[in-house]
Amino acid sequence: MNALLASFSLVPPVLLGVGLLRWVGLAPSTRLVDITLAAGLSLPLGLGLSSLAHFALLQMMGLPLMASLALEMALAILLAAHHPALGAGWRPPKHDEATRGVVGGATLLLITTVSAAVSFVANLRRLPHGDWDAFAIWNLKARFMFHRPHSLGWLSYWQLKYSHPDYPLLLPGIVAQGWLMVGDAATAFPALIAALFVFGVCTTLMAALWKARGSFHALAGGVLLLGTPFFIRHGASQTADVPISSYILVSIVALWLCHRGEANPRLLVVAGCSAGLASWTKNEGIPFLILVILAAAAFPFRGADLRRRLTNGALTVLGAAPAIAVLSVFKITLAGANNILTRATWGNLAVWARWWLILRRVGQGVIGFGGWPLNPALLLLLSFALGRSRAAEQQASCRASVLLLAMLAVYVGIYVIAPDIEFHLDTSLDRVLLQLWPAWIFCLAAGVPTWPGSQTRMATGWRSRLVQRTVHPHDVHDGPPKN
Amino acid sequence: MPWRAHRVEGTEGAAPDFAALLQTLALWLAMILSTTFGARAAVTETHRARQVGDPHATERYEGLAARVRHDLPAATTLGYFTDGRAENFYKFQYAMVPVVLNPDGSGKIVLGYFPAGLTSGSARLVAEHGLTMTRAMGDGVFVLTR
Repeated sequence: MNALLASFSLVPPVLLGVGLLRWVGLAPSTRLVDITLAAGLSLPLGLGLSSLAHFALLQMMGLPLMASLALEMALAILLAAHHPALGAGWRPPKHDEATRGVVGGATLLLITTVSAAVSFVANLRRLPHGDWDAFAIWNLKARFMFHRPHSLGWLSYWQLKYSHPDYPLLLPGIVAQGWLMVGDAATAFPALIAALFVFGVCTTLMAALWKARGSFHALAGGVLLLGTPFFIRHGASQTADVPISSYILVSIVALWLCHRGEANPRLLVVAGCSAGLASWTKNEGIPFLILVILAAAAFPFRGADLRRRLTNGALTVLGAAPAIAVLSVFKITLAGANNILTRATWGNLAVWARWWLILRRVGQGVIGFGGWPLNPALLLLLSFALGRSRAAEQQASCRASVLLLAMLAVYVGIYVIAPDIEFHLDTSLDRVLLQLWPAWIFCLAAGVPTWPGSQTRMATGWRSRLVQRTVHPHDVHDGPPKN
Repeated sequence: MPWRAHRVEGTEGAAPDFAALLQTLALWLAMILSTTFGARAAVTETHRARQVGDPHATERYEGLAARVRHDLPAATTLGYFTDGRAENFYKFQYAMVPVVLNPDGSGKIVLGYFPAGLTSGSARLVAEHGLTMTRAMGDGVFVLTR
């Protein structure tokens, strides 16, 4: 019952997320696809921003809970009130690219959803307080934040060093806020948050694919994600890997849409905001944030000149600014040293045996990822290798994949310098692959062309120049070229 | 050079290419495999949840901590002493929040946990560390003082 009451604490964050999306112009109509996308994006963004507000106002300034909730509501109203003209920020899809296979896809999705729900509940019943990392790190911190809402002194206690005091506090903040609202640390509430993130990521993925490609691709993405046994099992363990995967997905979706040609610069603000929240979820989010900022500047969607590149990078930083500010305060004043970086051996970068071991293990991890006997996504990768299309969607997917590969390279680099290499590989490799998994599914599914059907091809060379003369880039979403 | 997608005239209705066919088939196959393996995992994990239960037994520690918290004086830090597995400390610490436990057993009041009960070996260990058994809380939990 208390968990149900605590769920009311989710209302202001969700409204904040909706307000942000309206400001961006991503929820311009009452169409089902737009509403689904708004729901899918507003939940993680709103929860993340709410966690930032909670940390800043309660933990740092010692203000009451109402201050945090009031700020969230005020921001939601402010953002929603300043949204662009309806439809101005979003290019409406001309048609649903793929309508064939929808019935078959929907049937598979129904089976997969039921399987995922059964599996999720079974794991929750087995581990009501979550798996090891949940009660040793995330829920432990949430309990301290609940019992000591205006102090973070416990982060520096030597007795709690095992709980990694340097880990960011997005997930504990969300849980603690719900508990504070009802005055009881109900066990079911973190489980509810876990369910929201697991099925919320799926909603985000499906809505983004629906918006980007069509209903069949959305169904395919949903089936691939919910049909991943490890994703469901680990999602129920109440750790922060699925939440960070949610933020990585939102950033990738926003960048993908930019790369495909949505000339909406506010999408970069969303990409930056989500990447910033990823950095407030787990330390792995920090290199991701840097990569997103670099990607926004390196893959310009509105022109290649230096000024444009800098503007794109600045917009991404603007979106990430709240998270960067809070994370900086946390890291400088409260967080202890990172247990990997303090014991890192940089000379290991030159030890080729370590590189070989890690690459071999990563390769094995990718092939065996997900809890399947064989990763079905490899079939898609193989099909891409056998035949490439010049479709705009596939090129956008390639560009987003570069970012994900760079993130994978960062993980490999950290493994190389880390002490206890075997221990780290055994305990974290499948989890870091999981963090990128929904975004990989998005890139793969969005890159699959419609068959049979018409293609959307990328304008290059003389065609591009012709288009440039006839359509100004800023008019892309405003319909036909203006005279 | 700005680049963006646009529909190339003349491609609509054209013969679909081999790559598109291959990738669509691969997507279907991946979906069917995901559905099959996902359903199989649901059956396996439901069975495992019934058979194995919580390997960490966190609910048990919640119950023990609730009992201890009622009977101990309000304190922010307690010692923790055990002859059992070291990992039990993390479960007790989680259950005892906001009380902080000293894993080295230091402190005037110490929470003792002896999963196998107070054997002669554990009693000797308690004495060696200068601790006195003050109260038995049941299920291997004791309040010790120094």
